[in-house]
Amino acid sequence: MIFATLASTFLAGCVESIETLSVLLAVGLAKGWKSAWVGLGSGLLLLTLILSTIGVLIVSVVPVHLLNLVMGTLMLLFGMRWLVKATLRYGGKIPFRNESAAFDKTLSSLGPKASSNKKLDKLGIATAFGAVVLEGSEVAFTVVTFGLAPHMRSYATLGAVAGIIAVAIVGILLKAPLAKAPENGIKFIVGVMLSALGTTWLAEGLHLHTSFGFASYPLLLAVFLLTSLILIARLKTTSVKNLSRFQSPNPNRGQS
Amino acid sequence: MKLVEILKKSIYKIIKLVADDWKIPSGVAISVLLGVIVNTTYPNSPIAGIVYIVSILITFISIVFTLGRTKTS
Repeated sequence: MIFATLASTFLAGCVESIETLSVLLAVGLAKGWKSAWVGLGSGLLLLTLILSTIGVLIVSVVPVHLLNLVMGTLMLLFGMRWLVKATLRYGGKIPFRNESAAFDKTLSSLGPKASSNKKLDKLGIATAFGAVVLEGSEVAFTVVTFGLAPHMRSYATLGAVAGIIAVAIVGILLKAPLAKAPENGIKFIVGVMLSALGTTWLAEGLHLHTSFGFASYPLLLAVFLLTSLILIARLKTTSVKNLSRFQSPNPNRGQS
Repeated sequence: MKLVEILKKSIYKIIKLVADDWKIPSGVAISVLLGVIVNTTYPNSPIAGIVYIVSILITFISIVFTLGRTKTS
């Protein structure tokens, strides 16, 4: 349980930080690093406030026996959404996220470069703040969900913070958007883990006997992983079949 | 971007995370309902758990295939 919490929140922290990093780098380069840091700091402060308030509120309001039900439902909905998206990307049905393109888009939207890097820029701060709050809300959501389990709040926070720090260190060292980071791969793994955990916890919350006992989580992990891999392979072949249906046979193809 | 606008977008994003469209929540709800019905009919039977897990997997597979048919890269 501790490992699953740490791994899931760490990977969730990594994925969302990769997306935020592109925006922060663009703000830093166009409007000065001071604006980027102020936006990052204020965004993190707001997230911490929201996280502590919602986390404490849920734990104090929701009875203990209902927490499994709430946690399982949220985790399953959240995890399956990520898993569906990652599977469709690997299956070639939706495009992969391009961090370099996202970086260029943010850079051009920020307008001309600031004359002085020491001055604070309102647009730069707002852009950095918005990116941290918007992307960070997904990490916050994962931390709150995992933190609902008894004694897991500190592990959930630790995992997410470690993920954010890991990406920040790589970003500072490279000083470029992490275009080559396997973002979809991480999303896929987190999706599998959250879906399997969510299914297990929801079953426990409903008092359903799965007959697998303690082994249900690893077993479900394997089932979700295998199903997703089969679906990816199937989606790839489906697209080829669909394309061949619309393409007219070309007798000269391959003869040039 | 104003603070209120960012907060509104954040709340919208969290709602979107849980219920992006009706497919996943309704699939999970049907699976839960099936599991509970079987559990009530056959109390403490492992069939309820199996029915619930199989319906969750069917939900996942059908959503991937439905979106896979409609979305193209």
